[in-house]
Amino acid sequence: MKILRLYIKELRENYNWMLFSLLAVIAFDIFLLVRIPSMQKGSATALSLLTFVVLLVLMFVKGYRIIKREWDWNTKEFLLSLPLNGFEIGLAKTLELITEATLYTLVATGLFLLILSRDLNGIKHNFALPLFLIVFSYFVFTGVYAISIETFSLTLRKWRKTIGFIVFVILTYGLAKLTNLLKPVMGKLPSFEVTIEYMGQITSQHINMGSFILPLIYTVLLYICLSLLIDKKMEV
Amino acid sequence: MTLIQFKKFDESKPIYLQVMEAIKKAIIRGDLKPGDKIPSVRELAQELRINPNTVQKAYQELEREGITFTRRGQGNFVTEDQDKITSLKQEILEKIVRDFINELDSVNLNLEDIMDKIKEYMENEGHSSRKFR
Amino acid sequence: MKAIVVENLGKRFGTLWAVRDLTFYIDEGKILGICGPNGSGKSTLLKILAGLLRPTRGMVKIYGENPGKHTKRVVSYMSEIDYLYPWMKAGEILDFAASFYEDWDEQRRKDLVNFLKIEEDKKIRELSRGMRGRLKIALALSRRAKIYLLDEPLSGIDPSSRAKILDALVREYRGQEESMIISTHLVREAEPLFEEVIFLKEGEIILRGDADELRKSHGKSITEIFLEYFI
Repeated sequence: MKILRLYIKELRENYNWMLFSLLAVIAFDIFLLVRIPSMQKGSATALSLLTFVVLLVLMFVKGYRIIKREWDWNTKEFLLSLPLNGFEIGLAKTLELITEATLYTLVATGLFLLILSRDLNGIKHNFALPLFLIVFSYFVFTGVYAISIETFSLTLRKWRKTIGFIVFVILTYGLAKLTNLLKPVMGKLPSFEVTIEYMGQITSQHINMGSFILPLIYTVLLYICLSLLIDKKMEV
Repeated sequence: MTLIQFKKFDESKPIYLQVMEAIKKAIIRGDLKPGDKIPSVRELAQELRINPNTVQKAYQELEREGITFTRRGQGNFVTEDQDKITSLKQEILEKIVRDFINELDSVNLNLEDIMDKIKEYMENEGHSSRKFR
Repeated sequence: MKAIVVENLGKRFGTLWAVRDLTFYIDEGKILGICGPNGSGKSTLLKILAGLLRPTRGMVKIYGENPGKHTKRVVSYMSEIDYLYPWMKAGEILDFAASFYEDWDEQRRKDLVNFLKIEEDKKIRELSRGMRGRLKIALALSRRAKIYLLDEPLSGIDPSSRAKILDALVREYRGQEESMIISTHLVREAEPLFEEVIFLKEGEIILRGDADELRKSHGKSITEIFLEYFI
């Protein structure tokens, strides 16, 4: 299966970087875990949240690199001479990104929950699942968003960085506006009922499923766009 | 394929003609005898590092001239027709002489000087084993 | 059906026309040499045929189809530059390519790797220039493709590697079914392979013909004719 073969190649290409970042997150979280006793209550949890931010930025950089690298190494000529259309190439790269996003989500969220339970002793909650889903969807969306922007700017001959940046700003603004517009629609979707019990206090929240479904919908739309760009506009 | 003795071909002349000539000379020399198989297109192309289609063209011309014939599935062979080979000898000989005389004309030398020079050269350079009158 | 038909092909980059108004065709089973100095449009032409660039105007047909995913199945393209993944081993890039093409010939691959003395266990970034060039040829020729597009297969390569590459080309080329386009500015070494020749200057065809016919009519080698036109 050609897409599979390309996907495996993408994995191998990113393997070192992926391993390194996972180990870094694990090391950091383990460090926090160990230091919980000597830290103020809640600090470890807050710091662990930092890893999510770092990983989010990382996903953006990865998405950007995944396609830019083919240009820097001139391997774009090899890639585009393969008998694949834009959708197939786009899929292989997107799936690789999703694979990494999954790993990051599992590791970062899992360790975060562990730290939370040690830090705030006795806390009870049921937000694990929604957390995983939301973090996952944001990681994936960010990565594919970056691929799309970079793919677009690589179809330009001149002023790539400038036009790319402008498109990025406009698109982000556009997506934000669109999200606002879709709020009522998303509201119709079911919600998670999240309850947190700590030190005798109970709080309840409704987390709408739209908060992870929408990013995933955007991801699919972006995938279609970047595939069309590779298929119809990309040149070597 | 040293039988064919193709030292270096002259790129300013059609290559397929040179291939034909080399084979004709090999036949006249006796290195390729009547009925012998000549190298396959691929073999010769690889040996000479030229396009196999060029060799193919040469072989087709040779066959058209009756110098060689094809046995289906087996390759190309030298004709067994002695008359053909004799007239081939004549043809090549004429070409050599014609080229030679043209060279002489271009420097305006006379025949006697030429004959003496040839004798001298042959003896000195050890070609005296050849018959020469 | 003609292997390649090009009509009024033009390709513009910004304001520069790399190729302007090219018209020619190639019959199946021929080796065509495209000769011209750097910047004459050879690479651009080959990339368009390979489907890596889109024409600005004009028409290109590979066995009657526009260049795209389907023509890439039968076209084997070799780029002039280093375009292979540097982190892969030589053997890995061959395995990788093999999985994408139905016309991949594993026996041919083995023969070529042996013949060209390619060290399959070395990473591509560690290979010498000559070996990289030979690897590219092995990659391109390990397929039973219908059309081979070789962009400067001899350039920047040491003489012994060049000789080996020429030998490999002659060895692997199967006339009738396979057409080949070789673009080069090193005309002298490659000219014995050409059946047809096109001279390209600043994106235009300034000479075209059968190689042997040109030799006969000009009384010169293709190289000498080339020098005449380009000095």
